[in-house]
Amino acid sequence: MIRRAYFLMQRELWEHRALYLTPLVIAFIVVLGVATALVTGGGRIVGFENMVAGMQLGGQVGSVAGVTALAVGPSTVFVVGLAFLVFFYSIDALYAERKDRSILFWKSLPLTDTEVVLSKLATAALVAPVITFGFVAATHVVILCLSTVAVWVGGGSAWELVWRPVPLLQIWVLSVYLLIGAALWFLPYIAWGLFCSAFAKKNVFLWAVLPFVVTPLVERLLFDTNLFAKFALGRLSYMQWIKASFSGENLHIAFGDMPGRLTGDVNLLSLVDPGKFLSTPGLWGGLVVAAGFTAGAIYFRRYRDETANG
Amino acid sequence: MTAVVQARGVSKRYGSTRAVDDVSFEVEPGRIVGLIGPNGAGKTTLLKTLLGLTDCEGELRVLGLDPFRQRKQLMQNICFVADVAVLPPWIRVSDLLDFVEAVHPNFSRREADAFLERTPVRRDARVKELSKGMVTQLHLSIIMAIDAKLLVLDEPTLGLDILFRKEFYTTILSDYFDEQRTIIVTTHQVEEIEHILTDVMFIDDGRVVLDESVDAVADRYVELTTSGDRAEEALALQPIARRDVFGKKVLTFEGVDRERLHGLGEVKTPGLADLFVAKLRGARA
Repeated sequence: MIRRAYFLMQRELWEHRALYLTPLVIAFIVVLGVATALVTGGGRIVGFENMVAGMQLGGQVGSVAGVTALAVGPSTVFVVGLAFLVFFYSIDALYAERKDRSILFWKSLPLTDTEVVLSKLATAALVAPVITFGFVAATHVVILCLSTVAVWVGGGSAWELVWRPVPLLQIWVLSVYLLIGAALWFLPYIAWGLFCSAFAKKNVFLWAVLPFVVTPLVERLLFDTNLFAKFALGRLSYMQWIKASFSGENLHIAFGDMPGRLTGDVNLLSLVDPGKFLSTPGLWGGLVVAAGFTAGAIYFRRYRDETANG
Repeated sequence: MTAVVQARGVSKRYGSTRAVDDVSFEVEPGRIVGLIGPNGAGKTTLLKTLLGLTDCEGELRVLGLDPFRQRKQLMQNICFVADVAVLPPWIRVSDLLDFVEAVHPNFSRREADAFLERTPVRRDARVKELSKGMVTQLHLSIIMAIDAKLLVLDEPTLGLDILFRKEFYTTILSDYFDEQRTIIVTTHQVEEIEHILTDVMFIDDGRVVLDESVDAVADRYVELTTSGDRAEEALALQPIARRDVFGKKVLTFEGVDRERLHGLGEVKTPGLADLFVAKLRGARA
């Protein structure tokens, strides 16, 4: 059972190598960028000694803020990459097998359509984020190692200036929380993508995107309302999700006043509020919609009959 | 022993056209059934209903299962090769074998490996890097390693050169077929499979126009090559089809005693392709 599920998702990685190549490329670029910044900025312009002196001057608070920003900043690049990756994967997942005509081969094996579609949903919502997180964590470590070397060259203590201040474990726990949250929050869009890839004859991209453009216009024209925009597009802008994920008061400290007034011993995890997230009606409404589109994708994979030629 | 396939009044409609029209037949274990018909006759649709790829009306049991509703159990005991069931081009040979091993309870990796040993297919190659013949060998290695009760072949050798086509059927006959196993095959190249079939089904316009064992066909149908006055005499016996070959008349008879025809010219059992044409002309006339 587990072996079966593992190979079904492994198959997705064989087919869609972008799922790990994209974060790999991003990691490479981020590390290269940080290295360049350290060598030219820290090395040639300021000088490593001055850099270290500046870090020491900044004291505990400055170090925490600086190093945390150094670690968190690149994560956003990965998240943007992941969003694109998951979108393009989901609109291709059930279309590619029809395009390359391998679908009948897969159907010649004892696999149910439900198993196959769910494995693709899990790949988009779970496997892709986990892989990206792996690269994020590895990138953090590499960046901190580069910083360590820079601090050493400048004659400072890497432990005091880099490793002790950085709340690495907290950042990682927070990242995992956000990734799980994002997977659940954006699941209806992933399921929609899978649905389109199962149902569209061609132009899956247009099928997936156009309704988000056309529906609000039609709705406005006919009913003079904007319910669709409020639910489908409002949800897509990540603010709703962020608001639902964190407790309100602490959010202001973390995001409003970054980084100058951050207190030295801020606990990132105190921001996390899973109870609030789980009791958001929008989350559950979205999951119901996701279940509907997933069922639709399964239906189309089972019933559509494209080789009706003889 | 129970029939491998039992079909009673099976129909499949696409809109207003009936691709399969009220078809009834049975296939016993240990048979090799050739499903023969022109393009658009409903062969592929019929195979699809057998494989549970599409829903149908009527009563259909394959290996005792409802193919559409019990597909997963069914596919554990059926193998299926079609020119349209292409191996995914992006997959590596070794990964493909790993995958099938993981999801198919009746697949023997050892046998597949042993089969591939005898071919030039490299394990680390991707399917898209292989020639069409090698892809077929790879597919065969998987089919041969699955302990299935029923093998369904839909134009399996389309686009292959003659050597691979011969090898394909030889392999299936020698390494796969036995009295517990059943094969249903469709192809345009009737002559290539004629000698391996035990049964033939002709299908035209969604209907079965002939469903016989090859032995029964040999008993019932006679082809007479004749000319001149004897041809006139033979024509009086009402052949179901006639054609002219090099100035001679070739007549096909159904249910006419061979002894009666012996005096009238050269008598033999018709080839399936000719018989097919004869039957279809008759049915359409």
